[in-house]
Amino acid sequence: MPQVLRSSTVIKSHFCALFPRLASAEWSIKSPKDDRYQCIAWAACRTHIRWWPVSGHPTVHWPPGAPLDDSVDAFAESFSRLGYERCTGAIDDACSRFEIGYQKVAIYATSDRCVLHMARQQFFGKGWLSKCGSLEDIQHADLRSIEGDPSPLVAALGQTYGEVAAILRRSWWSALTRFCLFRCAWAALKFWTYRKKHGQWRV
Amino acid sequence: MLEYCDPPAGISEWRESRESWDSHSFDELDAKRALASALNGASAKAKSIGIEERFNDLAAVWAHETAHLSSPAQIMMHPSYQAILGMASTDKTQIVRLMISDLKENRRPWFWALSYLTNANPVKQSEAGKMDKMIKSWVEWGKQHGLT
Repeated sequence: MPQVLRSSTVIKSHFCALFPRLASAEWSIKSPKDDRYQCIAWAACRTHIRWWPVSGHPTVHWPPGAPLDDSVDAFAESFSRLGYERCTGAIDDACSRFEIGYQKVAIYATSDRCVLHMARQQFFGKGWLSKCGSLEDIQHADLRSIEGDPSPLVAALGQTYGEVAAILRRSWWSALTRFCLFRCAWAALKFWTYRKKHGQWRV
Repeated sequence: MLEYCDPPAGISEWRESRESWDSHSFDELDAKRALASALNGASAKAKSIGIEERFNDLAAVWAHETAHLSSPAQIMMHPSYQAILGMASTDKTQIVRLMISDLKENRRPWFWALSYLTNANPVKQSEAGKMDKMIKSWVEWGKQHGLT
């Protein structure tokens, strides 16, 4: 089964071991464990496919014509095809704040700017949504909660998402014309129904 | 005493009787062959079980420790994944068989390793990233090649 329901205790201990900052942060579980999509696809509002730029080997999807490179600049350029543009200003300040009329995504990377993860801002700015690989989709209050050591060596060992390297934004209109708002709303409704059916996860 | 080049007095002096060959040596030989075959089979089976156990252990560690990752490079750099690829150098067919079986049962993404080991890729471009379809394609490929 692609979707697996784990208890909140198991999920909490797993996530806190992976991301120690979550232990003292505000966060919640939004979806069951699902291997059909991951963070990049979820940032692009997709829940049925895995996205990553890999050349010459179709095991992951990437928008046709987008750069096949895992650098922050290449991801920013690829997401510009979905209507996103780079936020200017400090990441901690204006960029990461909610702005009415804009949907935002954050790119996590190593210190040498290799992308490791992406998060999407909740539609009403209540936090950030991260689909952690094949695990659950979580909502964390701030971007720093899942940051870790940005060293490429630690990243090579798979022990970190690095740090937020860029924040992109697009207008709601741009998201609407690409059916992304509909996809996000549909996924949110699906997960809400799932949570109601199987009991609220509290962490 | 006969000299080396002297002909034997009778054929029975230098040739074992037909009875002796039929009743003892051939039977013994067959028994030994059967025993050797059984031992080889048992050894291969034991080896196979050993490989399967090791594969399952490594695959479980790999899946657990990379479950939160999205980057294929990070996922494939994991030591357990590399160890499994190393195991394929001694018994590639068995490892490919185990990967396809594991893909089907546990949905662990062995796609890149399978392509690397088999020089094949049954996943169509339009199916890239779609787990269910990619698993189906590889399982079908395994069936066609007698690996499932």
